[in-house]
Amino acid sequence: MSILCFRTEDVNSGGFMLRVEERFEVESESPHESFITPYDTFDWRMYGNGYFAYATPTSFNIQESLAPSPFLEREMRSVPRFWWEFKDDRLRALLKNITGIRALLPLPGLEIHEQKHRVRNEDGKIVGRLSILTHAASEDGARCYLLIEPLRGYAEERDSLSAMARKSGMKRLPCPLLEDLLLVHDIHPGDYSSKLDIGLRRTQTITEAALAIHGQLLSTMRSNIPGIIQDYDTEFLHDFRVATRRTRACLSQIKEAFPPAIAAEYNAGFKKIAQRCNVLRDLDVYLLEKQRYYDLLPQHLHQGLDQYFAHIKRRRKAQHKSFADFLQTKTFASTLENWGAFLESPQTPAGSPPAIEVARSRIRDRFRKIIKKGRKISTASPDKDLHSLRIDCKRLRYLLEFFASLFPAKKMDRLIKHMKGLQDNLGEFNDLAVQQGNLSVYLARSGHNAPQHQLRSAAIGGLLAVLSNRQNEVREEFFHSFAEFDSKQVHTLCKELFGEG
Amino acid sequence: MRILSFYSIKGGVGKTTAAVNLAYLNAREGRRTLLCDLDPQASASFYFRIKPMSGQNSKMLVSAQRKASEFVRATDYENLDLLPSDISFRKLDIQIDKARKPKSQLKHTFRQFDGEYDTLFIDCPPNITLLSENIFRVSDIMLVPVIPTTLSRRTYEQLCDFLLKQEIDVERVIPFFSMVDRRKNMHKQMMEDLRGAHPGFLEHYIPYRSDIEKMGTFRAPLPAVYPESRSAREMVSLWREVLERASV
Repeated sequence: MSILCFRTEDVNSGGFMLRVEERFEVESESPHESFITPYDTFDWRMYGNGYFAYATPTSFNIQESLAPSPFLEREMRSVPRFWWEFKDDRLRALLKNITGIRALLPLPGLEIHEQKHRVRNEDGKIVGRLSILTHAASEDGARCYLLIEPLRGYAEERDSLSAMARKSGMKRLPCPLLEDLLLVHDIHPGDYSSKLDIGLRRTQTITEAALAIHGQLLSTMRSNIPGIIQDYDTEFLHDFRVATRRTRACLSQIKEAFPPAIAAEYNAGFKKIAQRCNVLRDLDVYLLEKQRYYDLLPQHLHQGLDQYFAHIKRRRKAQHKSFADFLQTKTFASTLENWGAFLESPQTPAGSPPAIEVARSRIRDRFRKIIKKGRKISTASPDKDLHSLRIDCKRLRYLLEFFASLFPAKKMDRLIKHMKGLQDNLGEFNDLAVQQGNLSVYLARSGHNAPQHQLRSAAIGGLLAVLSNRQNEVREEFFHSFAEFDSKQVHTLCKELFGEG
Repeated sequence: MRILSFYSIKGGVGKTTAAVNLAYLNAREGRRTLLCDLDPQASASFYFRIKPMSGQNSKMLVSAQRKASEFVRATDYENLDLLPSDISFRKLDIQIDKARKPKSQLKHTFRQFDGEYDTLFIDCPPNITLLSENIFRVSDIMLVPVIPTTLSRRTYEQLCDFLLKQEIDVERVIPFFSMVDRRKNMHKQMMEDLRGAHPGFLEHYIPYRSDIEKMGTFRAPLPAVYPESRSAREMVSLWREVLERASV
């Protein structure tokens, strides 16, 4: 039995407590005030998984969002940002699963007055527990809630308490309590996701569709900027970069939407922005994968890696500062502003074709190109052919994401699943190439004479050997991944979805 | 899930008092606890102010059709639930006898609580019957209260003989003294004699005291209402000793 939550303007006015006292014996506990600070990741991972994390001045707690009390409660005076910084094992395990590499960030605090009542029957047995919560300091007046906590075996009593609440003019809360409380601060849990979710209509023109896509991408870019500057975690930058890449892909692949000169201008603008943080993202990835690098090498070479990662950390710090500074320049601000203004009142070409037609033909073309290119790749082909195929796959993936809402969801999911194997393979191949390139540059630039440098060179050399072996393996696996994609199933699926053209 | 049963052939020996208080202490330490009141006299239910069931519900313990868990009720205390007694439990023997595997019927019934509770406490009806035999087989630990008197000694020894004959592990039996009146020389003497004859008795015991008697008036576990009283502290010591012995 779950807890029942009602919203009311004032618990006494509706005569609720009087009604309860007519039928039951009510025992009130002494009221208490609490100040809580809710915590979640920027993309609402706690909320999305049905949890509510909050801190009091002395503890950190996690509860299921509809539960009456936390199932995990640990004393602590300050809350660390990442799961691996928590000391308690249970907390670490839970947060590891939910938050992953994202930081837990504090939301605005809530000051809550709580009055609990025990409801007893004629035998003096507790048959229900009531809790009246008031959040005083909100602009739209006091927010008052009644929580009815049911007791196992006393469903009848719970139902009659709930009927009394309704009779007193209270309304069942349609969402978890926290969600309603955060509205006080104009915060809407779950309102950010890095996933593209654009609801297009089949009757829309391609210009209208492009405006919807760009609108969402621009808002994603904007909302991640403060997190990048504050450097809370690596994913703000990652989401920001994905949004700029998608924007550029949309500008270059959907040429019918806007006048070519304008598309080209903004494409170039976003390219410049992305280039400014390429190195920063590479360094972020290194640091995220740090443990994996250590695992690749024998223990006695780890010391050599320590030096390497110290160097990466220093470089990252400098790169972050320079990009954060750039995000606060007028140049950057005006690029986004101009782009936003253009999306508000776009110059649109006359006779924009329907979105669905452009989507079908563009996806079909891209698919055919990938099949043609992929089939040509042999064991003798240069690496750059694989890199180029990777870009084509990415472009197709973006098109599928932009237009997903125009096609049957199940079939689209299946197609994307089939693509994933191939994309993962090409992605890993590329990452391995980039990593080896960077390590080689580092090796060439660093001194070799002092003994600690020898250890460092040995470590880098060891990594180069392991990574190169792995890259060869990945290249061999490519033929298998591509064959899976170039299958009858996928061809049929594409025909069904996008037609023969 | 560990199963602890409170059992005595004789009635009125403080069996329910021990079950109610120790179940409460177990729950207070954070273990999810279910107390099953299988005694049709419903004293454990009474102590928790929970009404016995309406009768005719005994089938839930012997057939798969109605789940016993539907009848469970929360007590006023965290982590402690109770399966209330039902007057029809007096017929449990006959029903168990009719079941497919009469000797292990309850084992099957209690399995449904696995995972939901850490410890099951069973307050058994007095007598040696098919039901008690079932309870012996399902219990990890059997706690047997013994008043240090000649008659109680006799019934305790009868129980041990019975278990031996049924090839039930006597090691699982933990006897302890109950309703001990320190003023009575006969009690002191009998405790000494019994400890000599049967080494397994717990050091701590439940005394005969008026605050324990009054539990029937305030209807709650003693350590919940008078946590600092001497009797409550003695209950805590007894429980600690059970925990050490049985690793619950």
